[in-house]
Amino acid sequence: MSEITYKSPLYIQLREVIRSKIEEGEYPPGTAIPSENQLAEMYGINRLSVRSAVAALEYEGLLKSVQGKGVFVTGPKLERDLETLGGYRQTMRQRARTPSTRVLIKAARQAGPYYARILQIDPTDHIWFIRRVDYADGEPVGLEDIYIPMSVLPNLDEIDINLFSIFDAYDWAGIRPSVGYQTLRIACLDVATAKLIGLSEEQAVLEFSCVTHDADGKVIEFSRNYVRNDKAKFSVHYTNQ
Amino acid sequence: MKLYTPRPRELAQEHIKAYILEHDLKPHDRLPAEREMCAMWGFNRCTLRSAIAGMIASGQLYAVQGSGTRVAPRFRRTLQDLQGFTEYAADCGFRAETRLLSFSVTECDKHLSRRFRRCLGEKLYRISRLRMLNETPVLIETSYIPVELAPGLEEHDLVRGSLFAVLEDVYGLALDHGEETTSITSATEEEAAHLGIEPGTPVFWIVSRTDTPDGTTVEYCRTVGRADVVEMASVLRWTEGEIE
Repeated sequence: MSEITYKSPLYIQLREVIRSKIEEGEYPPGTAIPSENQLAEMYGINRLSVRSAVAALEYEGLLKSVQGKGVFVTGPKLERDLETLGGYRQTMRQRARTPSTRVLIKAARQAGPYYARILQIDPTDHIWFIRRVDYADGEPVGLEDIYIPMSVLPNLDEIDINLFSIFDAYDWAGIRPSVGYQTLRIACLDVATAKLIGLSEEQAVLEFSCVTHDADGKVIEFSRNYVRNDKAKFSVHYTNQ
Repeated sequence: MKLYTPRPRELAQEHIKAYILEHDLKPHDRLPAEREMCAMWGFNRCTLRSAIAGMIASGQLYAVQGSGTRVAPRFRRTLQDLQGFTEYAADCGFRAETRLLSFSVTECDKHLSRRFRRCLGEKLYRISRLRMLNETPVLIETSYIPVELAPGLEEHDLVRGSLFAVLEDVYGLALDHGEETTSITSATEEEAAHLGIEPGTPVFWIVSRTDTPDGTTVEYCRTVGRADVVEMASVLRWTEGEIE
């Protein structure tokens, strides 16, 4: 990261100008920023530089271009923390968003060697496999793959997980999710998967993998969650112990 | 009850991942020969190759011409502690190396003055360092520290030594708590050149702030991290009835 000076490439300088106007509220959420031509004229730079600056901010999720209408400032991102264990719905409710999910797959399968190892069961044991799309205020934000040993929630089949959360199901079964070990990577989704969460092309997303244990230390769930970078940001607090 | 049958390619990948865990394969360790894996798990050559290709594309494995498929390196960074890069690398047994990209004194601009709650124009040290593990460039960390809190910082060795250790031991600053936000950005040309990747590649973008117990911000840091070799870890805990 180098400091931005008058010597920096013009598109980087313009990117920072637009970013600070968004932060300052000069370009409020929901409004259009000046057109490519106007920006080029305003700063005496070429349209290609303007386009690069806008593309970078679109990628970060600060701007959204709408065909034939212009480039708009998006609202603040969902903020999720990286230290509180809680289902998707719970997190969203706390953030005053309306959560919803669409279940694509909910089926039983054999654990197989990999999930058996992670869930600490036998490879021939059965597990639930759930794939669903998570929405906030009706907009897709992520895709989740969830793996749960069948012995943990034997009657999950009868629970409508479009209506109730998996955390509700744990609660009813007297299971207390207690700690989750999470890792975060950047993944590239293929076009077909990207489409499921409203992305039109191959794009980098945040990939969270989490192994959840109950109060007795038993593994109850493994999940893999792909989240759109332009829809959420993640923060964590730390203290010196 | 619906049944889900994983596709052969998916199942082959599960077998490979399980094998890596079971045999505790480390970064750069080699997988068995394709023929052997096919025989072990009963897949045809075509399925296995497609499974391996997928795992190479997603950065889990890499191939060396004429010497098989190996486990790709991953450096795990914990998000919830104040441990610096130097200590972290030592703990994990990595050979760490730091290069000073720049050291300068700058002034609070609008953005930084808000982060530090200091006036526009107040002096800040700006230290940009390239972090390498086992010869692989992994992070570029750009730290800002108010000159007022650490006068003479330029005289200390921030390449071999730890910045946090200097701040604590020399300047008596108690680094107590902080906050870190993670997202994705794309690497600029300069960042890409330092990290040895293509410009425009998606990279981690981490912004952190570290305070003393009374809430004085000591360091504000922007980090760019290579997505193909870095992963972040955190521990989630259940909190009863937390409402914001």
